[in-house]
Amino acid sequence: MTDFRQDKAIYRQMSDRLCDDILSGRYNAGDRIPSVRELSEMLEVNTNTVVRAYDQLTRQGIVFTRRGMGYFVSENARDIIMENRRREFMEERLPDLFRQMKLLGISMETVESLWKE
Amino acid sequence: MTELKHMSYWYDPGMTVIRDASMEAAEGRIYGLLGLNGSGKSTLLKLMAGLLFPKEGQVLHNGINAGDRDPATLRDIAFMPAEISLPKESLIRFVSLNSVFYPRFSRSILDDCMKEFGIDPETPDLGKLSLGYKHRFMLSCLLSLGTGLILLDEPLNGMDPPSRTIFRKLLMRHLRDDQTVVMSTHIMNDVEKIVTDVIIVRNDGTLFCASMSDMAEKYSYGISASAEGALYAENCPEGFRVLRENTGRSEGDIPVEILFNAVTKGAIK
Amino acid sequence: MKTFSFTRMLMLSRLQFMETYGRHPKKTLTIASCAIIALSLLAFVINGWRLGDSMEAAEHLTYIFAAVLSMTFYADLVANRLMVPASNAEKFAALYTNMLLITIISVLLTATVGSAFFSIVSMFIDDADNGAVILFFRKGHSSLYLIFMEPIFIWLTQFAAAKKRYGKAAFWSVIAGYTILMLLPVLLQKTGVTGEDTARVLSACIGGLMLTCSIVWSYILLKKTELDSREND
Repeated sequence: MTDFRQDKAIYRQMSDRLCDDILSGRYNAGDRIPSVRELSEMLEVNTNTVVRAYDQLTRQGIVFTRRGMGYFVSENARDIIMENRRREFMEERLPDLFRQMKLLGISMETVESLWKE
Repeated sequence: MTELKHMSYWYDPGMTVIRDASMEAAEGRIYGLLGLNGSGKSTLLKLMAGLLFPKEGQVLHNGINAGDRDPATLRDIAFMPAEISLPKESLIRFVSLNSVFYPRFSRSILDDCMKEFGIDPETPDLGKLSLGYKHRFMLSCLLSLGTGLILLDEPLNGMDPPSRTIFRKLLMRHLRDDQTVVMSTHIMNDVEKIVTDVIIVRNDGTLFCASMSDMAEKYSYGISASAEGALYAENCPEGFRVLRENTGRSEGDIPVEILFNAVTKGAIK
Repeated sequence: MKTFSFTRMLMLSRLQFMETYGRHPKKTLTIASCAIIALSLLAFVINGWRLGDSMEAAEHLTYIFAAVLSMTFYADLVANRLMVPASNAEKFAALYTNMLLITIISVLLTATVGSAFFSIVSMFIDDADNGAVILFFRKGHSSLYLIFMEPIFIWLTQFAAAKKRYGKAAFWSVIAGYTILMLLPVLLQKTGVTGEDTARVLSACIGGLMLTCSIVWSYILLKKTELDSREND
């Protein structure tokens, strides 16, 4: 168990939230997402932070920008997000879960039977 | 761009308020100026405005001494003191008499701010406004003047929480990329997410300046059961709030309050 | 040499004047008129109810009245206008413009309201100087030079505020020097060293010198003015 609990960086919280919105269908492929300024005003956060979040999303291919027009959701955004989250689950959440299970003495069988329900 | 070069200020010899301060306030950045009460925050703002002259060193605004009070410099600086006194005249008259000196004054920004803050544009007597409304009005004016440097001394004083939200939103809505804001406050939470840099005035008068992103890179903050190996720690219900060296890829933001405490207690240089 | 903008100077002058005295013009004018009447009454009383000297006293008091009002402009300048985007020279000129304006208004008020007062009063008493008069525009009026006391008052205020910077010794030396210079012509005349005419010319020269000195020093002091407040933090 990690002894050091941290909050996620704000820019990460913002990009995660946007990914949630894309997965939930609030923003579909090709839709325009709020501009940097709009989002910074909405969330009362410095534009630098918004830019950082948008840069990350652009780098990952989840959104793209069209000069002078803003940011838009990519065609395969959903797939990329799902892939990212799968990877995060496998590389971070699962090892965490296994660590906890070992510590608390919970067996795989117990978990599996709960899963089957 | 505003620069301080080895600037010192004292009221009486031996009582140095600002000691050997050197820093740059760059375009597009918002500086949170923090310090204990009586620490010299207001003094620093007044020095930047050219209202006080440094005893040593320089305060330069775009290369020119702020204390020269050149019209070009003054046109580019807007200062809001902690104690606001407004004349007993109508809002319309006040704006028309005062805005003429600022070429980048924007009527639309002023109207928008006043609308959000709920200020009646036809207020007949500014002197009769409550403290909260005075602050809101002054803020609206300052945002609309369009100056390169905006200096705010405890702008959130007397503003209720909803107004503070509006203030943050308006700032994000109207600030241009080439404007700089230096705002002093002792309520850290209010400014946490909108500032890009902090300036902390230590007890000995020296300044600590850093960008929030640098701090996030250098240090990591979290809640831990033990304070071992921490640069700085504070008690909290779940154990300790700790500040550590960032050895890993930790990306978490450093809360302003803990940064302030760590700096003023000497845990961070 | 930086350029001087008349427009800016006038805009600042207007700003100062309107915010200090322009809010309720009718009310202000009424109060001012009452002040002038009170002033005239005072002049009358202290001169033993004699018309001739009273009128002269009223004129002198008017100048003092204007000088006091001028101080409010100076106070306004250093309390409120240091951050206004105008050069020090423009601020200085705006101050003087307003001083001139307020002096003219005071003079006009006395010339109308004050004269009316004295004219009415003269109907009730028996005096050599009876009849309707218009103050400031009558024969033998010669106190115009008092106007020039105003810049010196302003300089005195600034200098007193800067006493700490100059130190006690320097401060009092300058004051002493000014006083001696002012009294010099009178002294010379009384002791018979010079005649009356020479003394008068000397007076004018010294007055002119002191005036120029005050104005220049005033400007320098303005440039060095800091926002004064200890409770800064």
